[in-house]
Amino acid sequence: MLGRKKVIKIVMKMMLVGWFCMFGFLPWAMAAVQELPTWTPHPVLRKEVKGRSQVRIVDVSSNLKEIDLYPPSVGRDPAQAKLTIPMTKEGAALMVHNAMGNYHWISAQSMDQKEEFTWGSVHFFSMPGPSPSVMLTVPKSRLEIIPQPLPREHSTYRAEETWAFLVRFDQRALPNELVTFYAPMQLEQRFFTDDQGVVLVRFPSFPTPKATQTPPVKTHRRPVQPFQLAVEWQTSAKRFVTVFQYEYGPSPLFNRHPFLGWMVAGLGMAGGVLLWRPRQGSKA
Amino acid sequence: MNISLSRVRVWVQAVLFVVTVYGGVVVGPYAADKISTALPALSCTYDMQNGAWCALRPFQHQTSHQIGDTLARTNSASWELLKPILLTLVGFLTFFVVLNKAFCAWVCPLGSTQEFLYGIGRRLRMVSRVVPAPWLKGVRSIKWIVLLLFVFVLPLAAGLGWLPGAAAEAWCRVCPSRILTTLLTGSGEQMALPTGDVGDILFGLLGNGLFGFMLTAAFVVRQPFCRICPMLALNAIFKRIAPLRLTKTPHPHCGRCRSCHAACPMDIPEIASIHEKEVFHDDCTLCGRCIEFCPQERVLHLKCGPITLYHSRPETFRARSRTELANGSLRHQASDSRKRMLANE
Repeated sequence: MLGRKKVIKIVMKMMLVGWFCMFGFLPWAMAAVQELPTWTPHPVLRKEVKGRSQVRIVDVSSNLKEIDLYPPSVGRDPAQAKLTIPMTKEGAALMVHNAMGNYHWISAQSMDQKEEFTWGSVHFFSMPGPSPSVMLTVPKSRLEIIPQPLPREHSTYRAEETWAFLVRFDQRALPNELVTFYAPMQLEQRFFTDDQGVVLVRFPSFPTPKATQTPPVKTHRRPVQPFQLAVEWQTSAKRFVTVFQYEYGPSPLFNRHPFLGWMVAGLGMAGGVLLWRPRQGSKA
Repeated sequence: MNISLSRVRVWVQAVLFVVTVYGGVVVGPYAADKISTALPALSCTYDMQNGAWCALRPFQHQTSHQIGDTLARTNSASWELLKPILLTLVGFLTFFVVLNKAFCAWVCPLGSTQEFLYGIGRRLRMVSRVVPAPWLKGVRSIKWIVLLLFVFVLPLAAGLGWLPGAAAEAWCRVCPSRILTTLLTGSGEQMALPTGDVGDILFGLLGNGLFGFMLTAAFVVRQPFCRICPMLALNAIFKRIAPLRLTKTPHPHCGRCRSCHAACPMDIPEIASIHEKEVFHDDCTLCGRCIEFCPQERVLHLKCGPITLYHSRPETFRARSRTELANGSLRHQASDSRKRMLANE
């Protein structure tokens, strides 16, 4: 039989281990799990927005050395070229100056003799700037996924909607090519490009928090989640992998009620119909 | 040659209706980039198929995102705060100063829709209603309140964090054009009532109710929504410096027939009773109906600076009156109802 003191000692040890697990190891482990996304086999870069003119790109799961930033006027204004920012442990700080905002393309590449990997995304600096129409089509890597079109300020990719992307290699469209869609909660889907190299991606639904649980952001309060589109292309000498990462929101009818909308409009219509009655005393 | 201004206007309205509602289909994606730089204030940003951009949207954005945010951050006001809103103002007013009031009657798709519905009402022989004279002052002041409250005060309060985010685009959430143009492009999304939070619901109730009311009221009341539209108020601020204007030359017979007042879709009695500069009223949309229905030679004029573009003529009045009464009713229908009335008596 164990003595009373021994039992207390064992309990104390167990509590110590438990304490370490709870407050020492576990948070570290959980942080590690958070840092390493499991929804995609490709590197995920995270955006930390710091005001209107600055965003930090954090490399979560790969070793990309630098980030290229393409301004919206690239391809139109010869003076506007891409900027290359080195990636540090804290990430790469991208900043725009002189109120030159709008949509910028962010690109990162890693390459060796066998493989060339390209990561691409878009960031909207909330300041006036030229349209990104030309910027999107400017060649940025050999294998590319180009949004056609990119949803603009008051639009966004949304679940249950279909959006087009052009896949091209050395500026030539790639027909019948596999494009894989990745999103959290294992929402993996496969699509193929058509004869013009265009793939139509139908965004899958994802569970959304209830209206009361939406994050308390002042304006654009719709919850979003990241997604990646990935395409691979093999030449005789090299394998090319390109990922386009962006975010998409819930379906257009999230937090909206069509029937109630028509009903309220119907009540308004009824109010207007009251004016149809002939006035009292009028003959015609 | 006797050109019917109304006929020209109908064609202009029809073409611009297609551009402002379906323009994106013609010019492809990013239509706003291609057209809006030339025509910065035509249609609704919620309509993804359109070819334009509404001027009221940037106003709300600047007030909420720029001024409200900065005020909340710095707790002080400075030139830097006002610069963005002044830039927006100057940018789109270069367009508005040129067109100014004519935007409402010649370009706005919502205005064209209401006119079309009123035309159907006339053909269905529905009653025609005008705003009673004692109500005019009150109704006219609503557009100023709407401009101040929905385009400036509520977005500013949202930017300062005093109101929920829904108020940041207060006017857009109420504007019937948002629902109309999206419905016309086959999207029922904007018609669905937002149920996110109290602000969403309140704006949704107001917007959908107003849209429904406007649709049915337009059959019997001319331009019911235009009367409270903040765009009309915004245009009225700058009408004095706009080259396009309505002018009047005093005439001894003027004010007797009041045909111009009856023809006015905005029910402006001052057209018949006052003279010269004041005839170009804040509510005038430069549709030109009053000019067509004026029986006197060169009394009412549509001018661009010193150049007269169109003026009243007895022959135009006679030609228009052969088919249509000043209030928009068709002549033969009016004759029929008069015959029926006489027969009953």
